[in-house]
Amino acid sequence: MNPRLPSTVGRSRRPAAPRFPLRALVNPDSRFTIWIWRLALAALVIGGWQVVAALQLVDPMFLASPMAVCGFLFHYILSGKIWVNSAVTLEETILGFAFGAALGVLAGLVIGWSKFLERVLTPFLTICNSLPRVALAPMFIIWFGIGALSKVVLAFSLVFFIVLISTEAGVRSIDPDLTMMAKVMGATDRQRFLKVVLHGAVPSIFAGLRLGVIYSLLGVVVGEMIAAKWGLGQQVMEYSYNYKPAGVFGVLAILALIAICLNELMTRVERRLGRWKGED
Amino acid sequence: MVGNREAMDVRTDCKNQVRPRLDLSIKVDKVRHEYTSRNGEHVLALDDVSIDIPSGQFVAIVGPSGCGKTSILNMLAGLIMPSRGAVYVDGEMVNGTSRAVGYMFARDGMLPWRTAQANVAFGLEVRGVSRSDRLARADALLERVGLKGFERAFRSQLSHGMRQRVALARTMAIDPKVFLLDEPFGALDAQTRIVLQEEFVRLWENTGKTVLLVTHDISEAVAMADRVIVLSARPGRIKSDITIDLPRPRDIESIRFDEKFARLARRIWRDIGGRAEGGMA
Ligand SMILES: Nc1ncnc2c1ncn2[C@@H]1O[C@H](COP(=O)(O)OP(=O)(O)O)[C@@H](O)[C@H]1O
Ligand SMILES: [Mg+2]
Repeated sequence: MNPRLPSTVGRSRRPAAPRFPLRALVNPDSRFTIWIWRLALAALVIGGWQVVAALQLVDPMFLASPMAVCGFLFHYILSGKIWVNSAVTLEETILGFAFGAALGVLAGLVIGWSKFLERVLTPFLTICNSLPRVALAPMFIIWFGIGALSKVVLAFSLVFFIVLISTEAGVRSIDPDLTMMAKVMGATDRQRFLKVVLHGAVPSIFAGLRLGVIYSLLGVVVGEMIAAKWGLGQQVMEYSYNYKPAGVFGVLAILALIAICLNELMTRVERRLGRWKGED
Repeated sequence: MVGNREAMDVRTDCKNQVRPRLDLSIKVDKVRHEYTSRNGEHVLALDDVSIDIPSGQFVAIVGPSGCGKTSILNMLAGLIMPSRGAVYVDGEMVNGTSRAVGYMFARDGMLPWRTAQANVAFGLEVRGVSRSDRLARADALLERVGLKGFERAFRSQLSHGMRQRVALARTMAIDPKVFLLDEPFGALDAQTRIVLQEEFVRLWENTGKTVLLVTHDISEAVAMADRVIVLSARPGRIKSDITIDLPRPRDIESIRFDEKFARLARRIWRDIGGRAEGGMA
């Protein structure tokens, strides 16, 4: 009773108190308000950036103005360079992600399901996962050449372990009550795996996939920055070598857009699958 | 005891494919069970426990916690093997999970991503029953446990009592010959517990199914069962085996005020080693 008292008092008082007139402006439940604030914030940042650039508070060699970036993007699109380079980067990202995710989920399920494998492999997985694998990028270039393969392999090496670890965690996080229930209800090992373990691990698998797709892009861009003929990473390097900050920021903007789209795609797939509440 | 020995003799003769007495639904035969903990220590959980349960009997096992009650049920469900001795269900030695046994725990084990209906249908689904048949059966059972209208509800939308009802319907859906219940109402509040006890007894009466109920609630044991077996503290041994000759059908709620009920409950209380009543009796 006691802890409830103050809130009751507060609630009865609230209507009588004068309404905070600007409450509607900070209403966290109104999507409209939230979007207004987001746009305002973006305008502030970009506007501030434009002012800083226009007044040349920073050497234009280091910072391009938003207007300059827009100009660059306009030419970049017109010349068609955007499509060639985006296509290369996107292709490598998707290949690396697809192989890494497929094998990562598979390995994660097997290792999570088998106590033996889990116990044997855990220290190795911890080492592999905590190593900054991006640092291996130069080696991958040496091993697999400056073509797409080295980027795909680098992306794969990032995605594989991220997805493996989250899948395994998902399998292990399943309430033992549920597998026990399935067992005493007469489910075979296979049925228990498909109907309980796999199903229960899905949220964790998707968390890994969402992270994995971004890391795939990261791996590819880093690989391209080290050595490549095409790709957005290579473009970033080229523009920065030639002291063209507008180009660097423009390509970064394209990369950000791609990352957002990939993330959104994963969220949609998850939501689509998320509707599979019960099988019946 | 004589029946016990007979059944034993038949078992040793299993080359001739002769089975123990067929009217025995459950037979726990000279079971001793020892657990080995991680640091290599041996824990003797059960010592020389024998129980014969004829088909259709409702038996309750009571005893202090840690005396091996759950271990007995786990053996009968085929989840663990006794260190010594053997257990039989329906005349067959148990050596793995069996689809003739329904096992219900204190925790509901509902799959949170399935509706109540799909949870109840789970056992039928793994048995390959067609979708329309199993859903129809799930609906009928949900109605019988008082959950009509909650077919599409998920675990998160149900109270503890309702979840336990789903678990009960799920166990009944597979139509087991033997029900193993491990403190199935233990996690419920007193009132819900009585309601569910009453419902279970009503659903069980006249089905001819064998029930083995583990509980730490003496009045639950006496009110529901035909027979109460008291186990001693670890290592569990059979301390007493008491016939509950209260009439059926029983009204679980009002039978608690019956004089005979009180006498039986007091006796069991004393056997378990309760002090207050032990001094009085
Ligand atoms: N897996 C296990 N490993 C080691 N000891 C166990 C294990 N399971 C149960 N025990 C021990 O065996 C004894 C009996 O357990 P249990 O059958 O669960 O008792 P109850 O259900 O009567 O409380 C307890 O003392 C418990 O600590
Ligand atoms: Mg127990």
